[in-house]
This record gives sequence, structure tokens and C-alpha cells, in this order.
Amino acid sequence: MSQKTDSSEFAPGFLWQIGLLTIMVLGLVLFSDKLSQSERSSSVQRSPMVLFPWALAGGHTLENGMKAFSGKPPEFAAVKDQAAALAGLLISTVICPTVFFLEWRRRRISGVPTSERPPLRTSSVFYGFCGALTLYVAGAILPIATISEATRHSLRNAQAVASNKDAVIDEMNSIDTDLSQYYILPKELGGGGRSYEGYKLPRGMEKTEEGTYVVTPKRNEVNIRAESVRHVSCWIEMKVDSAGRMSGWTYGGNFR
Amino acid sequence: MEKDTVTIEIKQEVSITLLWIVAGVVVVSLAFLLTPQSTELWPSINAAGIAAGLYVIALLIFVLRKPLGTKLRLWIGIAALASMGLMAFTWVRAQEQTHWQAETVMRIRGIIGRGVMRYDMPPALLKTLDEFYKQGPTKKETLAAIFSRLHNGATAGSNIHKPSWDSDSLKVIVKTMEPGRIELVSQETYVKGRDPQFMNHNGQIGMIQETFILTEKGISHVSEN
Repeated sequence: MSQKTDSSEFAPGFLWQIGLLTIMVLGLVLFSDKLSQSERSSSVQRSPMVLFPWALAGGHTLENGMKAFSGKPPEFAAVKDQAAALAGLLISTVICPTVFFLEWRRRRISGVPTSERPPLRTSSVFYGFCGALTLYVAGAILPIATISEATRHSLRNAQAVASNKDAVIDEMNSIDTDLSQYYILPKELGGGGRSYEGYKLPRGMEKTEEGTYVVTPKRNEVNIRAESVRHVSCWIEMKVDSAGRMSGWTYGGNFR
Repeated sequence: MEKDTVTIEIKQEVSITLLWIVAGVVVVSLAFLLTPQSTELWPSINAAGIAAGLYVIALLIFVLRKPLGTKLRLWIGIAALASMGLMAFTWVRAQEQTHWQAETVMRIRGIIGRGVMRYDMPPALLKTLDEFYKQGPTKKETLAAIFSRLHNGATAGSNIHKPSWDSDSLKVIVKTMEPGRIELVSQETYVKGRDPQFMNHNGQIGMIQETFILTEKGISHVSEN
């Protein structure tokens, strides 16, 4: 006996149901996000997708990161968040896929045409809801993965540039201290005797892992230009006056 | 007294569905709840996620058995596994990324802390050095005397940092004050430095610490941890 397996389960009526329920689910997700945002006093913006529990866990990790920044100890996740993570996981990976796949199989095997089924029975609506949610979770994962990879890449790039910029500024600060000391020290002790003229960068300071530095000393003023080693188009320029004050900071490339 | 008996009839397919759901809810919830609690939510959801993944695979094997056509079973199986694989990938990447972000925040805090120390400490010593050499060839005051005069009679152990804002907790401590040598030390109280075993000035272990030393020859900087 051969089973009929090619009957059209996704007939226009079914697709209409799925479409309508998808809109309902999206509305529910957006509404629940608004609701939870109004209750939230957290410093970290959390993802609206409770159906994807890693977003909740990630939000909690970031919250603890911000607490550590201010010297506060990390906290356990609130019971509300733990319950939301577990509920999201149960809905998206247990309840909805089970209802959807088992009912889909039953319908597929029974071979009853879609037109012969009453469209608005409670069980049909629940099946449609679970189907919409399962397909939403399965379908949304590709754009989510793509967007999060792009975000990750751009965050890491931006952080690499910012770290390099911080390191270069820090080294320019050290040069400023060295310059001030040179200006103050008498010539007998290797200083400039109230002048920057003749100043040379200490050995190893012309080129570091972070940048290359060029100083142009005049009597009462020095121009410093730093070029990044890690990000070749990035540079910083500034001036140091006779009191050792730094001013006229100008940034180029991605340091802007 | 007569006993009433209530009989509920459940269709076979409904009972199978309920059985699957109950089994899944129990397995996933147990995995979630039995994972030891920590300040991170990740261990619990990772354990529950693995249990859920195994559950979905078992469910798919059950659903996609015969008499469904081979082609249909294959397509749905591949689509479901691809979706699960992508979800696992996104999950792992999200865990890695959020930890990286939290660590980056602390690294930035360390950079800010060091930057503030390196910006704040040298001017006090440079001003002292400047006054010292402004005296000319005959030195009436030592470095220590000038430094003390410029900083309200500071002695060894004094904090010379003036808070710039309400919660500014930075301290710049005079570690050594000898006529020709002044040592300033500053440390973080909760930001870890390079060496986790480093003994800090205040008795803490492993925190960021920077030292600047002033002598008649100038200033030297030691990034201690």
C-alpha cells in the first residue's frame, strides 16, 4: 500500500492562517518587549527576543560587566530573568515544535484535504500559532546570525582602533612629561635650561608597538606628531607649551 | 457515600503530543534547574540548551519516520539541522561576544585608571623640580621641603590628590620623602593589573599600581602592576 505524501499541506487557507498568526506573534513579541522595558531599570539595553535565551544571558553578563566597572560585585540573575529564559527555551524548543511537528505529521499522513477541515477550531489555531512560532524561530536565526556577526566584526574593529588611540595618547603624555623635565633641568644635567631646543626623544620612544613619534622642538613650544603603527592612516598631532601644557589636539584617519 | 468517577477520554495523538511535551519540559527544566547557580546565566541556559537540542533531534527522528516520503524527510531534516546548527553557532558566538564586551569594559576602566594616574602624578613632581632649579646654583630648599610646602605640609603617607568630582576615589600617596628623593604611588582598589600576585601599597593583591620617583636628575616612572 502506498501512502500519499505529496498532498498540499500549505494550501492557501493554511498559508493565510500562518500569515495572520505570524503577525500576531510578532505583535506579541513587540508588546512584551515594550512591557518589559517599562519595568526595567537596568543600565544595559536587553534584546527583545526572549525566544532566544542567549540574549537574556548576554544582557546579564553585560550588566555584571558594568557593575564591575563601578567596583560593585556581580549579582545573580533575577528570578524573573531566569524564569523568562527557561520559559523562552521551553516555548521555542519544546512546546511549539512538538505541537507543530506532530500535528503536521498527522495531517500529512491522514491526507484529509485542507478544504475539508474547519479552519477556526481551537486546535487548528493552536497548531497554526505553534507553527508560526517554530517557523519564526527557525527563519529568524539566519538574519540574527548575519547581523550579530557583522556587529561583532565592527565592534572589534572599533575597539581595536580606540585601544590604539588610547595607547598613543598615553605615550604622548609620557613624552610631555619627558619634555617638561628636559625644559626644567639645567644643561649640565642633560636638560635644555629653560628651552626645548636640542630635545631628542628617549631611546625606544621614537617607535613603539603602538606608534611612531616625531617631535619638532622650538625654544618655548614643541609640536608632536604621532602616527599609528597598527592603523596606518591614523595620526594625532598636538603642541606642548613652555609650562608643559598640551593643546591643539588634532586627530586624523579613524582616530577622528 | 457514592463515589463519582470522572473519565477523560484523550485521543491517541493528543496523548502522544502531551507525553512528548511533558518529557521535553521535564528534561529541559531539570537541566536548567540542576545546574549549580552562579552569577552568570550562561551555565544554566547552556545545559538547558543542550538538553533542548537533544530533545528536538529525538522529536525530528520520531516525526520524520516512515511512511513520510524520503525526499520530504530529507529536506525537512536538513532544514531543521541547518537551523539548529545556525542557532548553536549564534548562541556560542553571543556567549563569547558578551564576555569579550564585559572584559573590554574592565580593560577600558584599567586604561582610564592608569591614564588618570599618569596625568595626575607628574605635574606635582615637575612643579617641585621647577621650583628646585629656579633657586639657582645655591639651593636653599631640598626637593622634600619644596614638595611639602607646595602640598600643605605633606609628609610620607599623605594623600596629595584633590578629588575632581564627588565619587573621585583616586589617592596619590607620598611613599617616600627624603631630602633628594620623593616617591609617589597610586593604585586602583578593584581593577586588576598585569600580575595577579603583585602586593599593592595598601596591602591588596594584584591591583593596578603606578609609581613616579623624583630626584634632582628628574622624574622616573615605574608601571609596577
